Amino acid sequence: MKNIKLIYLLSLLLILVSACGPKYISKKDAFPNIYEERPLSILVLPPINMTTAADAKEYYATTIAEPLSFAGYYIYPIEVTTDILKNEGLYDTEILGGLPPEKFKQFFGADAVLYIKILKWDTSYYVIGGNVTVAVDCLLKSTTTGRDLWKYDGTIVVDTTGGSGGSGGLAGLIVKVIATAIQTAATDYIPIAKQANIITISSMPYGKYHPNFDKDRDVQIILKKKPEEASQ
Amino acid sequence: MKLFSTISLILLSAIFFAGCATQRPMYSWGDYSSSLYKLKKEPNDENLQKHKQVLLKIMEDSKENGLRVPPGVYCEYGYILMKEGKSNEALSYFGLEEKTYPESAVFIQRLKSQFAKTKEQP
Repeated sequence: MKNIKLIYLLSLLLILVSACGPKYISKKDAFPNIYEERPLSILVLPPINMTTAADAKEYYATTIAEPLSFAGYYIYPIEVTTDILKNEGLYDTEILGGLPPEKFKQFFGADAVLYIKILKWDTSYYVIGGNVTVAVDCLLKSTTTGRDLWKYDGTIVVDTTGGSGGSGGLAGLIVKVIATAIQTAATDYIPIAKQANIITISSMPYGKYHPNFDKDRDVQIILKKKPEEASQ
Repeated sequence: MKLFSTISLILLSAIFFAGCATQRPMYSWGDYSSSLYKLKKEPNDENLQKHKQVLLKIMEDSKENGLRVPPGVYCEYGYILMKEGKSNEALSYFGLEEKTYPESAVFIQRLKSQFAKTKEQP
């Protein structure tokens, strides 16, 4: 009798826990449009900084190309494209955001355009360490159809302590990749911005230069999980 | 005995290369983000030269390791040369970008035409 009660309690607990857990979805169900259109080249527009941290924009703009290239896409050199847009009188990120995506196809031949809004860039320190909380809103739009191809909207907490451990799963893998980069002084935010960017685009389906291009349709991802903890 | 050691050597190298294949990164970006950030924060000649060195190093490292030069690197280097007035060199780097990444063609054409325009002005 005691045993049955215990089993009953355990199964109840199991149901409760599984209901609370993150919801998984396959990449092709989450972003069907990108698998249909298969963009190769991505134009990254200068990020819109909605935070009070003046440097957040530069941190983002200088660290986004690398992880995007590793995801298998051709990324236009942001320095050069931003300069060209400026020469055309398009230096206001708000104006750029309002342009029809098709314009960027004509202008650069880009298959897709990436809009980034930085909503939060908070640094906090405590006695034994610190962390940076980054909240971003990313949207990849097709320049052919104007459809949304991929998006990310979430908060990432990057631990700057540089201790051992690390969470499992995808985040754990990512952390391993840049484990060496993060072991720098807490004032160097480049590795932190890089890490935040790697996590941000981890749900993006692979592009043509990636060896697993088109083989990741059934890879399970978590769409909503706030905040994403990237403990290092 | 000799045959045995040959076989084990082949096996060993096979393991070694298999290990390399799985570990091989797609690109070598070097210190790109750091030097570019410094240049944007303090746009002076010293930081520009440093960033140029980083871009060159990425090209060298990629060549050494048999990797494709990351997207945009040839072009960014060429663009800096163009601003410095080194026109022929700049054009050859634009050409390398287009050759490595044919999808950059429209963009590279735009750069070249912009370059031609600035050249016409005295």
